[in-house]
Amino acid sequence: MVNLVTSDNETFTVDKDVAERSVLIKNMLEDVGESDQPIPLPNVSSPVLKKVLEYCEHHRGEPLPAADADSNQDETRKRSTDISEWDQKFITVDQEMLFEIILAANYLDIKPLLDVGCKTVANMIKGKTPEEIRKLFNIVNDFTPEEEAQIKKENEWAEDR
Amino acid sequence: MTVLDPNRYTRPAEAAILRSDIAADDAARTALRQRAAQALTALRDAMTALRAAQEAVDSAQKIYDHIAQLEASLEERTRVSRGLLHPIRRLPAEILSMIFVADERSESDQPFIVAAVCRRWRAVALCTPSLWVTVSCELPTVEATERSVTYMNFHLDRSAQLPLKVLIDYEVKGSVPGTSFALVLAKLFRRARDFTFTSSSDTADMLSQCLTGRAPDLTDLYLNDTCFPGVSDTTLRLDFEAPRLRLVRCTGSQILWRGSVAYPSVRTLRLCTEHSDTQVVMDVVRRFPKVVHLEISCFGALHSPDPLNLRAERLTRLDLKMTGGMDANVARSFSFPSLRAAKIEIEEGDTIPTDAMTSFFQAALVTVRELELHYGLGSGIAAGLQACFLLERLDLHIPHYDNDAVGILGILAAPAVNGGWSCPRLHTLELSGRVKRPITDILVTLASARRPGAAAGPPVALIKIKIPLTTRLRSSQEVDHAALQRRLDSLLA
Repeated sequence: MVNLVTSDNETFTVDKDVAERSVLIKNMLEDVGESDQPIPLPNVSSPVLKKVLEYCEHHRGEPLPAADADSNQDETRKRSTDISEWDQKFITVDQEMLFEIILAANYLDIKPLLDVGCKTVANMIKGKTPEEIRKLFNIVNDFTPEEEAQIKKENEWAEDR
Repeated sequence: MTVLDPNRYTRPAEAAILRSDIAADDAARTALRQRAAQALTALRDAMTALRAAQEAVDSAQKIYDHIAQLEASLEERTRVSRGLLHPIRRLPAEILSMIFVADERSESDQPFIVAAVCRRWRAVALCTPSLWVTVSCELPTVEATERSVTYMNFHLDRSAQLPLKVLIDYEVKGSVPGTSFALVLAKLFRRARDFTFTSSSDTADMLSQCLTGRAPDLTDLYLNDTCFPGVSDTTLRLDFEAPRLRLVRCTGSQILWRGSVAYPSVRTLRLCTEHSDTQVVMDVVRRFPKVVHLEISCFGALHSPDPLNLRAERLTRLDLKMTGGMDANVARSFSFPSLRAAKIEIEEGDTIPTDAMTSFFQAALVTVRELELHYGLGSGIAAGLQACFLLERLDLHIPHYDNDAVGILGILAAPAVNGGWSCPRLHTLELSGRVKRPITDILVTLASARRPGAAAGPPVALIKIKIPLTTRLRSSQEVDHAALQRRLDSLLA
């Protein structure tokens, strides 16, 4: 078993193979060897870690992506936005939690979870106009009128296709 | 009481005077003047009160407007604050970039949309070359074609040096794109990994100029220019280097390969082009020496004064459509030692002489395991099939089962004089079209002779004869397919 301590000082005790879905934790465990020492996760709060561990628990035993998968990520190969049914239900959370999960997955180095998060946000963006995207994520349009005019012109060309 | 009611500002006696034509006496006139003066004073007082009320309303409206303005300003501030606090702002650029490229099926204008959201998103989008690798255009007008040059240059610049996926559908009828378009198309081709160009006009000359040079990343090439009158007179001259090319599909204009360039990396080649004749087949063999799957429609005649060397060492699947006929020299020139599956469509069986047909089977199809024969059969196939001793599955897709069909099924239904079977490993036979009476009897004989456990049967027993199910018989010559299928099934059970 492995003890994980969150930013709000809550301790989670989980099976090693569940915790090792995180490459960060796996590497830490390999570095410290056999030890009862709790692993601090200062960038993850307890509600988020609870969610992340739910994902790791569900996917325990599945093959982990190859170590070089990330570095080998072919720049031109985009991925599809297909998400499994379970993952889809799992990731149906409010925006705050969704982005917290993405940040945690990135920090903990859980590539499949990061992919699910990114695909979910990509699906939210899909088919929307810039203005709709701004509204969706409370993004401020900070372009100058000149920049805006230039972008509008550029998008007119794109729409012609 | 209305405003005109004389009783409103007068007493009854004065009102009576006002209602009549009688002249008022002095006393009454004085009283009326006094009343009028009083009414005037009351009116002035009312006007003053009204003005005061109006001023109060104006003042209230000003206060209301001011409050509404404050509210809108607060809302805007709250929205900005919410935006500042929104967790999407905390995503590092590399994750934002991952989100942008997470959907390979996104609309082709997606890069432009995300780059128009805000400065940060634009900066990330412009620094994510993989976001810009798909160049997809439908060009319905000459103007759109000219405008697309700018847009294509955006993709070329922003995708850095990554290989591109190019999909261009030139829909302008009767017009050829201008020079600027051709120049950018040539650039795209040399940067492409997948290059698809479909056209509704004669763009063969333009493409001949654009598809040149070296395309180091090109793996898939698809050219289609079938949809315009006169396609039979156009020629696409191709001369480019593509060391990674794996798949080539060309439909439409005749293709002439220039120079001596070869494409040994190509594994799948599909050609359905005009005037495809002996020269095209020779080109295929010479320029695509390692092709594994070849699909070719030969609309021209396959004739040669001398035998040729048409050997494709690695070909495992052949889809050949012949409409122009073939002579014996060409027929016996084929050699496909690795061929496992073939689909042969012969539009008019009588365009191929009997000996040529037999030679073709003996030369080209001797190693096939699966064979589909479509349309007209032609004589010579039955004899040719005897060479296909590895054949395991035979599909006959023939509209009319004539003597040729009888011949084919006949050689399968009984051993030769020496006791040897044609296609001794045949385990499945499938027929389409309407089966008529002479065929019925042969099928029953065939099933009986090749059934599992049949005395002196072939080394591999037939396990399935499948005929199409028809619901209605058109003539007395046709048979009840369902009943025949049941009978065949029971024989082969």
